[in-house]
Amino acid sequence: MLEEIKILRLQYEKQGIIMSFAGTFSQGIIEEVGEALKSYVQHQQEERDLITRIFSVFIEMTQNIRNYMKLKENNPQKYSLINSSGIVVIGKTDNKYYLCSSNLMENSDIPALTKKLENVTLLDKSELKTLYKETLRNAPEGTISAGLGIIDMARKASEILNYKFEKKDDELSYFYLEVKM
Amino acid sequence: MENLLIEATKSTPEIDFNYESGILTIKGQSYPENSFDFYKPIIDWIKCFLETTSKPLEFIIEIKYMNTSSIKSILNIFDILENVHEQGRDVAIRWYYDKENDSIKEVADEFKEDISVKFDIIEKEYR
Repeated sequence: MLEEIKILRLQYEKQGIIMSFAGTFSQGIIEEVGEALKSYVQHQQEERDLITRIFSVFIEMTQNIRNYMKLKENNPQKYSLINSSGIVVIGKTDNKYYLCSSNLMENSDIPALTKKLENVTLLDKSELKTLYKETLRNAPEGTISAGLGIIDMARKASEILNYKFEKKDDELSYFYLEVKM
Repeated sequence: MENLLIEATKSTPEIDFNYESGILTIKGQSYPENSFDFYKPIIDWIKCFLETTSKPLEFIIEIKYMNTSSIKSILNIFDILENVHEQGRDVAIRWYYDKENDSIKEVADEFKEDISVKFDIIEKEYR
């Protein structure tokens, strides 16, 4: 294992990784890692606005994953796979912060998510604001949907969101998302 | 009606609703696991207040950070206030933000754009 950790360390250094978490995302973990991230960035004396945006994107990203996992609770087999698949990585390269996440999802959920992501990558800041307000207004009561979170992340990012799906098998795929600030 | 007092946690704000004074305060950070569940008793209290008394209502927000589902819940509250305001009820919103950390001001500004209730956004210095 010692050799593996060394390889990991080199990878971390090369990618400018500040923090990462892999495993089951509980609200408690999200809170703790979020606070640790905020402290770290504050300590780097970054601008207030950037600190808040990083924290904000972290929360939206991890809560989206958590909410998705909760949706899958009714299917025990898939659930245990999906539930333990979350990864979030935060780093800094070329003077930009990036937040990346990965999680397993059901293939049947991909089209709807793709549509939301494609939508936001086409819009400028002002169009994003309009879409944000419309979605805020129209989201049915108590729904759990990634829509608003995705739009919010797109508004806070300095570049368009980067994403990719990678098929695992006939039922599941990996979803990767990157937000840069 | 009883007052509503809920202590803050890392991810949920302090709720201090006073029936006698009609001053309702929400203060802290808001990113609960389930905003709908967290804000439901708060919204129910507000509805009950509005139904059982004709006193003026002052809604004070000092939230430093809100996730998007909290924003949705706060919008639901504002919709209720806007509704009764249109019927002639005396309601007002005051939103305090930290001078040193004003990114939440943008959230407040966006709310204010779509509401006709008296809405003051005030800078405050926090020690």
